[in-house]
Amino acid sequence: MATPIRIPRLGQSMTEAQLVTWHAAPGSSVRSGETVLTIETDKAQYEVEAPCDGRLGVRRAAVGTTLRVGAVVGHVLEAGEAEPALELGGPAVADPRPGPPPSPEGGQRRRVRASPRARRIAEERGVDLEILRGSGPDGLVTERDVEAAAQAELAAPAASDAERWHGRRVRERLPLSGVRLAGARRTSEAWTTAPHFVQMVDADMSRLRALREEWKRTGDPRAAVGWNDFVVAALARALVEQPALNAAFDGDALVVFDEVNVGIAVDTPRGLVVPVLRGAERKALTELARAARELAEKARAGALGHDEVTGGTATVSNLGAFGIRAGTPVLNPPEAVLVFVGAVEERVIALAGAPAVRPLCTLSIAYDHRVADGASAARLTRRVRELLEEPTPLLA
Amino acid sequence: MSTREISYGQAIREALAQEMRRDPRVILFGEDVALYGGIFGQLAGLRDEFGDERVFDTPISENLIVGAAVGAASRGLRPVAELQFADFVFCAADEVFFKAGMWRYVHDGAFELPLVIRAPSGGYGFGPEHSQCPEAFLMHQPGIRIALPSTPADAKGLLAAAIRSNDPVVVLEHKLLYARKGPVPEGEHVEPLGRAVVRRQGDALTIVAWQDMLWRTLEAAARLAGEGIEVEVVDPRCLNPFDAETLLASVRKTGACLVVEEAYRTLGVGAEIGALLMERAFGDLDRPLRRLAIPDVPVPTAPHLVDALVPNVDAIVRAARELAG
Amino acid sequence: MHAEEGPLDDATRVEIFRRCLLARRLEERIIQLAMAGELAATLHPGQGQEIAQVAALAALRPDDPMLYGHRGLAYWIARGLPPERILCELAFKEGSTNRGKGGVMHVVDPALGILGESGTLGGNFVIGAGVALAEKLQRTGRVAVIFFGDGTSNRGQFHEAANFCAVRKLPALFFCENNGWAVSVSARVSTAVADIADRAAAYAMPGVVVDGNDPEAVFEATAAAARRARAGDGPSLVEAKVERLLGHFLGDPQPYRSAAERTALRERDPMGRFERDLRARGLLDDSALAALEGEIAARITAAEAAERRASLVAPATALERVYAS
Repeated sequence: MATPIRIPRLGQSMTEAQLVTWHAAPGSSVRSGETVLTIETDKAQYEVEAPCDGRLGVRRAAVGTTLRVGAVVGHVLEAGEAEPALELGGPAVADPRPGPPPSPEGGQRRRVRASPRARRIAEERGVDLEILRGSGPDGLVTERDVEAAAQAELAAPAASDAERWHGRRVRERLPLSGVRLAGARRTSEAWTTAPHFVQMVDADMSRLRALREEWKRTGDPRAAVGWNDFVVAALARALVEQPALNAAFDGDALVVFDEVNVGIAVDTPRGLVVPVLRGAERKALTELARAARELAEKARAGALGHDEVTGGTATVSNLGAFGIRAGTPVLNPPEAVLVFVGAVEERVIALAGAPAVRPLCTLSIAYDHRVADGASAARLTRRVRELLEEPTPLLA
Repeated sequence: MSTREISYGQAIREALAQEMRRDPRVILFGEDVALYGGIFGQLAGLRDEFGDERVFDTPISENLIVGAAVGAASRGLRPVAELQFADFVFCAADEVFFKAGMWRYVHDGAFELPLVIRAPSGGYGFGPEHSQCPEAFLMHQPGIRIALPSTPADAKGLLAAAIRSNDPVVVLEHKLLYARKGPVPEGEHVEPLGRAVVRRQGDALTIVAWQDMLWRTLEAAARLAGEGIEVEVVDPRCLNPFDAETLLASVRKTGACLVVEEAYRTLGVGAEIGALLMERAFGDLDRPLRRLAIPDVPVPTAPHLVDALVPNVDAIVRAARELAG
Repeated sequence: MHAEEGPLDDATRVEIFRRCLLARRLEERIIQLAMAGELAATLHPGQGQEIAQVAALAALRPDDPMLYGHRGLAYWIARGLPPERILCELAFKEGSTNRGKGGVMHVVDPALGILGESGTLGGNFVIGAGVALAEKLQRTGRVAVIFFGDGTSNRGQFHEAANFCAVRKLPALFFCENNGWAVSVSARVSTAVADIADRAAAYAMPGVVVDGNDPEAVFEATAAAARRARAGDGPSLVEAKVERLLGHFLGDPQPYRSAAERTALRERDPMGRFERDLRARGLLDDSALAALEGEIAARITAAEAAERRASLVAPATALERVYAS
């Protein structure tokens, strides 16, 4: 009997996934447990295995397609078995986009205005209506526009330089990966729903720098703890002391969390990924640093498990390596706190009436004003700074 | 069959004479139809030929004119009743809509009602109660066939068919067309009811128009052709039965439709055509439906005010250009 | 039942009584069944007006076309329509005359000269005028009889039709049942003349008033009007003064009539007078009356059984017979 290969649900919130790669060709034999395709959700990439031994049937979804959980993308067939009939409605392809793309003009959302006839012909001829510019009344995409696009595609597949988008010449159009799309969705959500405010504070890292140099010299295993790990540890401790900010706004209530799960922003080839270090407040420095490093590596490899990308209660983002000093970060919803860590750099400061050179790190901390007010946020901001300047409590 | 040029009004007279000679059950009555020969002169001589029993004047009694036609039709005559102006369908609304429209149905087919109501519509300078084109009102009512001859040949052929029909038929004669001449077959000429005709072929756009609006549309079409825009012009000829297939075939070809009508815009024939296209040609529509119609105000008396309201050739050209462009 | 040459003979007199009694008993039974929810309560009761209706029709030929009024069912009984057809009409069953299209207000049977009734009051006049026109032109010798109430004589169509029939000398008979009420509005406050027959003068036709409870008076006036019509002298108006014993519709609380007035009415039931008159003439006695009542009861029982056996009209019927072609 033909056994369907379905898009698995890999976590409660997962509803769809993008098909990234097919690993086996139609007609090839597969073994139970063998990876047949890679999919990507808004969290991470996953591998989907063959459900049983047999021969792989035809592919029912193409690479790049976004599919709903449960969608059948193919079958494993027994020897000599025919391909089953297509399910009514075909594979449950998700809406091609989460929503209409924002127009560059005025930020208004735009939907494709195309005549019913243009839609029908576009579907028949495989023309993407969204990239067309309508020549009909009020910019309506008409049959003529679709035909022209179809002809252009036939005549010169690489004629994309002739393509225009809102009056601009287009070099190429890059479909967004699941991670990038999810990021776009989440930041839009955060930016438009959470009232942000940012507090900036400079932390004098002299003590930490001295400690790190000391650990390096003595071969202390804590030498592997980086600046960012200290910030994660300081934030975790500060949030334990001020649990009201380890929280999220939920319509008519604040949800205060019982553990501190710190998301750590990681730049990956597929875009920004934020793996979550669970129970950060319970971890010793070295353990915390090791876990953070492992998460970052897995993130870059696209190998994070579902639990490793969900459940964050606050986030740390660090662009110090780029020499960035401060920023106005965007929260990672539903979290209420995000610490943007700038470069640790030597600056001249006034100290007891005289100029002095000290290693300083500027923290730009974004808060959700529905969860924090200026004073409660300031207490957290100040406490994170104190813990970085006087890190003894973190060393215990 | 040989044809010769006669006017629309003469064609109507020919149809009546043709059918009255053919069938003694056909009678003709209304206001000023006998001695005067119709206020537009289109009935001249009929009383002399067929006598007072079959061609007679009535009092100013529109309920009576239509009601008697229904009663006489239910008893075996084939009356042709004239309402002197099409607006008067509302004076005789009970008899037009309820009796002609429903008498057969209410009595489960106990009667056939082979009657014709002739009524001149449209025109200039007659005032708000003598200038209307009530076809949409009639089209809304079940039970009434509606013919809208636009050419002299159709005036003869459709009226003859209406007289031979076993159902009530309202034939709206457009006042501005009575004097228009055109080729008309000499002998017996009957055009079946419910068949539209494509008056001009094209693929840029379908324009639906009838009667005076048809002639304006054809003039606009000639102008558009000079600009390289070839529009297709569909003359429905009847609204009930309505030849949807001819219209749909045209719109499937052109992907766009403009309706030009000499009546109020809201819920006009154009609205019904728009709904039909949405239901049956959605995937073929490449442009939104456009309607040119009287913008929901009564038809005034002063001709230059009428001109400000009724779609003209320029407006048709403009709308067609926008749609086809 | 027809003795148009008059005078009213005894056999016809008894037959009129028999049909009035059948109509009365059938209506009483219908009211019982309607109140029990077994039939549609759409009949407008005609008790008190049966004698005028049946006697008038007795004076006409059985094929004289009739447009009846909306009160009661004696018109159809007079013309011999089987009672089960009336019951089926009220139950919307096969075997009815219009299969649920018009219901009991639109009973029709052209073969019995029952041409129907206009749902809007006044429609009868103009349709009836057309029927009279057809009878005249086809030289059938028939008279079109139009029944109407005093209230309906206030509709414009009465005046249009009366004038037209008089002008064209059509064989029409306007038979008014004046019961003094238009639903709840007394003729005293709605109608400028006490006798509707006075209105005939405006149309240069005879107008006579008779006691509608006197079969002989009704018969003779109707026969005279019919003779005049058949002779080609044109229409007449016969006004029968009658009394509406019940309300306008089944269940009408009649707040416009006092209880005392209503009780007095019942006591004046013209059927009692008719019965006494027959007894006095030696045309009826206890045993004959008992036999007649028994025969009528059996007839009604059989009609009810037939109605119960009949099937409900199928829903698809609703789509049929709008058009003849």
